[in-house]
Amino acid sequence: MTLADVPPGSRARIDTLDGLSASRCHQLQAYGLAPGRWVKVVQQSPVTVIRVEHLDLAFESDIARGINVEAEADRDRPVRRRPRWV
Amino acid sequence: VSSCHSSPGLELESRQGSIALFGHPNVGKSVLFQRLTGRYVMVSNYPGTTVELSRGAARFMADTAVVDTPGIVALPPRTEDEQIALRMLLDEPVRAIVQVGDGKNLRRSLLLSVQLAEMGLPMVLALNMMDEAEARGVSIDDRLLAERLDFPVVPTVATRGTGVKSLVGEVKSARVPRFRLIYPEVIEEGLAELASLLPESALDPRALTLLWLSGDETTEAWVVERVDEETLRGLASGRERTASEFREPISAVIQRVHLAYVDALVADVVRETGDKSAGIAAKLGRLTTHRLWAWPILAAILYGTYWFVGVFGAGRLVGWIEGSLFGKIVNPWVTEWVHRLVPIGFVSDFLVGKYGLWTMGMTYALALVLPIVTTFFLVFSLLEDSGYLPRLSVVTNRLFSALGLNGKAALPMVLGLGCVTMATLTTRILESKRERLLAILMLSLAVPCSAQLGVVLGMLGGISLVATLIWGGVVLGVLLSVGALAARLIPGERTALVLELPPLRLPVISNVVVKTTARLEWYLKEVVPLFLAGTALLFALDKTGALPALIDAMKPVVSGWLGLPAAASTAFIVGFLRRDFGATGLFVMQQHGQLTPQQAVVAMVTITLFIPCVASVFMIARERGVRTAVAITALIFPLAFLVGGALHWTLLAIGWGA
Repeated sequence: MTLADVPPGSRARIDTLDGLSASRCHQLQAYGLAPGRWVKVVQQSPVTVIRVEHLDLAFESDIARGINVEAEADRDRPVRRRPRWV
Repeated sequence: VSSCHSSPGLELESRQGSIALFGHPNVGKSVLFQRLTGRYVMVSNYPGTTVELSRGAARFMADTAVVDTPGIVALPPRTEDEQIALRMLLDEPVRAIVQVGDGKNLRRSLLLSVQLAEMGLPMVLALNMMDEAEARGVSIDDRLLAERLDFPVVPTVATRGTGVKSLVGEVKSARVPRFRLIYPEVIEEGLAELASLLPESALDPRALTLLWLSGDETTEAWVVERVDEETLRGLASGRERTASEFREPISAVIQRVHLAYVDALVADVVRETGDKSAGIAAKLGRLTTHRLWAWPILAAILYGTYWFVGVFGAGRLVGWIEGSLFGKIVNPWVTEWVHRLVPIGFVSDFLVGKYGLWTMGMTYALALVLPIVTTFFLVFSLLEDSGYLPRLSVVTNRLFSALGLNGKAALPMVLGLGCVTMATLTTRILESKRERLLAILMLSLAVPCSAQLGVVLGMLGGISLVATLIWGGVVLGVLLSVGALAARLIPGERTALVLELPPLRLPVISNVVVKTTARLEWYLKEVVPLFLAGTALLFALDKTGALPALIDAMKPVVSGWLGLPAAASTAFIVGFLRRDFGATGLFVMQQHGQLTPQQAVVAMVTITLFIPCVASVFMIARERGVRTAVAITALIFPLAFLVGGALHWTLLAIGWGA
């Protein structure tokens, strides 16, 4: 699955950044989106916002679709109900 | 916005070289620069505030300059502002690099540290914003970190001055770190082979060769200036040979080595005790980019700005200052004294006549525009320091896509609402030449700067909200249609948005006040002389009898096509110098009941579409070349009159505001 498929509030581990140009890949890795790192998806619309370390990074869904991830296994994730509007 | 004036010509150079502040965008380099030099530079809470080098004399070291550089995400650089930072390292003798790092994002900071450490220059790492790191439960073993990297690491909180003293101590005794990473064998061979071919630089040959192998444009340009063709061919083929051994770019291979090293290092020196930061700021931050909630928040901010600048500033404040203070007390008094002291009609006319330096130039600048820009700069500084501005990029990304840009362009556009000239400089943060050109065109055509916006809001707000909306709608319509058209005509592809969002912070009042004051100082220095020059021009034209002739010559356009009184021509004439000066003239005409609501709207739309000011044309020429500046100017003025006339005839047809 890609980063674009991760629901807001969930974590995912970066697998590869194969779908992106080399220079884009270089830029994102400099921000910390490197294979093996965990990120948290904050929102997916109107653009994708993720948190890596303590940094919020926004990028277009096209870029999110170029990043392959492994989602956090459901059983590892604490069940948390959030109010729908936040 | 920062300021339009150039920095005082501080040509500080010394044999030992300067101290260069390096680091990611928005980590506090400029705050630290202030601490180290006592010189004020603009500080805000968004990446891209600094797009030029700033220099100041070090407080703590004789004959040494401190240089503040634009933030850099990674080497090789992607954008023009980043290239400026790297170019500085290649061109100038550097006594020490002070990397400013973000304590709460240590991985990212160290990824740049290892690249800088290899440069072969004395280095110190200031781990800044340690207060935010602590609040988020990040604790760093800075001693172990310093030991492993072989350069000093100093925790700092630049905004409070914490740690600055020990930083200074470390900078004074800084030395070249013995830090070297081992790359895959093929790259090591390439390094050994090519290092001797490259010209000598201030950097370690190995670091320069790494940049060359990564295919960095800045290094390439620097090398091309210094070697003969044969050497260049040798260098290029050496790079190709190394590259052919890998399936991915060399820069990716190098970066992987850095990532692996940093990951291992961070695992040893950082302890995360859990994020305690999910406070109100974080929640509010999320709402500002939320797909639904973002809109009411934006609307509230826009309305608040409209009220404070348009209704309060341009309405009430100007009413008091211009109407009561200048109109009834200051100007009658000045006029009387000038007439009494200088009984020569020509001279007193020049000072206090119809086109008098005081009664027109200074009154416009001080009584009409100054109160408006003061309120605007206040709101603007608050927004800047809150960290809200980059979030606009998220909200407006789709809109800018239609213009061939991405949401990152929102930043120069919004800064253009402060000062278009300065915003033109900020287009350096955009990634491609095409985007920078498109953004500059939009800025010059349809983004009103603070003085212009204030006058427009004051004038049209006085008529009705509908008048303001017509003006806004037409200007936005022109922006969108010309932008969409230009995006199709100018070749090249759109790039996708990638932008870091700074945390929302409560603005520090002292910084807001200092910043607003700095901008007002800029305003007085930059704008008042042009207002006076414009007034003197009108005076000269009037006295030589050329003004009536000019007004007559412009009559077919101004009266015939735009449907305005002939006297409005004078506003358009000075509008070529600074459009807000022209707009102020129209404002005064309206105050005297010389314009109908329809004429006011038409006149304001026309002059808003003018080139902002002479200074902005020079800035375009400097950034994008004279040809671009001429082309943009030649496009904009006719277009402004075309749109203004079309609006006049449309409003006439539907019978609005006659």
